[in-house]
Amino acid sequence: MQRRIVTLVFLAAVGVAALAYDASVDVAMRWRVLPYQSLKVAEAGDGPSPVFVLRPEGAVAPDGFVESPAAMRLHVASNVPWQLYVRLDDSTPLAGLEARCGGSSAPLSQVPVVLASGSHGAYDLAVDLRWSGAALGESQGVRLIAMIVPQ
Amino acid sequence: MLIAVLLAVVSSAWAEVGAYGLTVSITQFRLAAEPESDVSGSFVVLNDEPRSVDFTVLVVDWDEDSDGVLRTVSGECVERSCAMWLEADTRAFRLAPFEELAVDFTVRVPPHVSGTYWTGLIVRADSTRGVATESLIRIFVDVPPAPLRAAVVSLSVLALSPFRVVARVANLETSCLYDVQGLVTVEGAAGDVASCALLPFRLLPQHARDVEGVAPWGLESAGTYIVRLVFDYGADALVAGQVVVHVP
Repeated sequence: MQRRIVTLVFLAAVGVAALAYDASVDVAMRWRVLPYQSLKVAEAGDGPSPVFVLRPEGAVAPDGFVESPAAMRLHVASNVPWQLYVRLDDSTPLAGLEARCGGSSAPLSQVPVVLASGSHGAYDLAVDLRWSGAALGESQGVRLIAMIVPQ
Repeated sequence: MLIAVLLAVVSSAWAEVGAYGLTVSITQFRLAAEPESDVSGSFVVLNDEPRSVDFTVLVVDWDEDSDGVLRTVSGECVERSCAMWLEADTRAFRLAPFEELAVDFTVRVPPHVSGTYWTGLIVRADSTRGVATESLIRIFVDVPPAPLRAAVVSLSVLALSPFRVVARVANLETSCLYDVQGLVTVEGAAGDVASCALLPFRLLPQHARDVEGVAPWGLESAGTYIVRLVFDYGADALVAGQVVVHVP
């Protein structure tokens, strides 16, 4: 009995839908896409070591700098325009470290600097580091904070 | 679900090199609230990598300078901060591989306030490695009434070809202007008009912003032109500024 009622209701609904086809109307639907973001750091270097150390390595160039090309690789995924800020960790007071991500170098301190920005999409970013002065003596490695911010 | 699919595609490309970091499901909240009421929000933190991630949630005050650059500051410095109204779980968490966690927060709005107040939450993926990652989640709380008033403070032409202008726009009220849209028009003596739209921007309460417009065309013919910059910020009226430019 219950199955028969369900069948009748279903057939009635299909019939109404079929009748409504001729008198169809346009319906506008809208929904809000919430902004989401993802920021990841790729493992740098070879080998299984879980410790990712950022420190000057290699010879000092005649201009007094040590370059670390692509010292960190970041991956950004966002569905809204974004900015990437980078700063030194509070426990790492250090002068003489600069970072570059495609553009010109920016000196790093505890105040965040904009290193990259973009619209929605997925981005792989290579950040170069440039060491000079006191930063050349950083043998333990520095700690950086990379922050993604919706615009 | 959509986010999970997108992230699966994205993370597959990185599976070979390995990565750590987090995804947050919502990066901006606009909460409407009455005085002396509570309003809540929630977002999801997702670890879609095959290793555990430790993270913490921090309450942070932030502000923007006239170029739109973010500054994170202490709570005492931002006049319209609502950090003190915010209750969030700021413990340290650990997410297992491919695990997600909902983070809830509540804003307790005090009596006798109106306009827009703001603060933020930072989700920090802690790591012993050389880089920690953070995601800023902006939180705006709008308490009525919300008067809207803006003004063009200055307008300068930076270059003729390609044509570049910069305008300083000020939000004179206590409500945030979330979506300010601008249009540059240049009118010649013969009535010919060229225009270009500016990128939409946000203008915090009682803040000013320097907005630059770059047109894909230039003013190369000699003559006198009227340059107008018109902004629509959601109120009944528009605001505009104009200057006269002589091209020798």
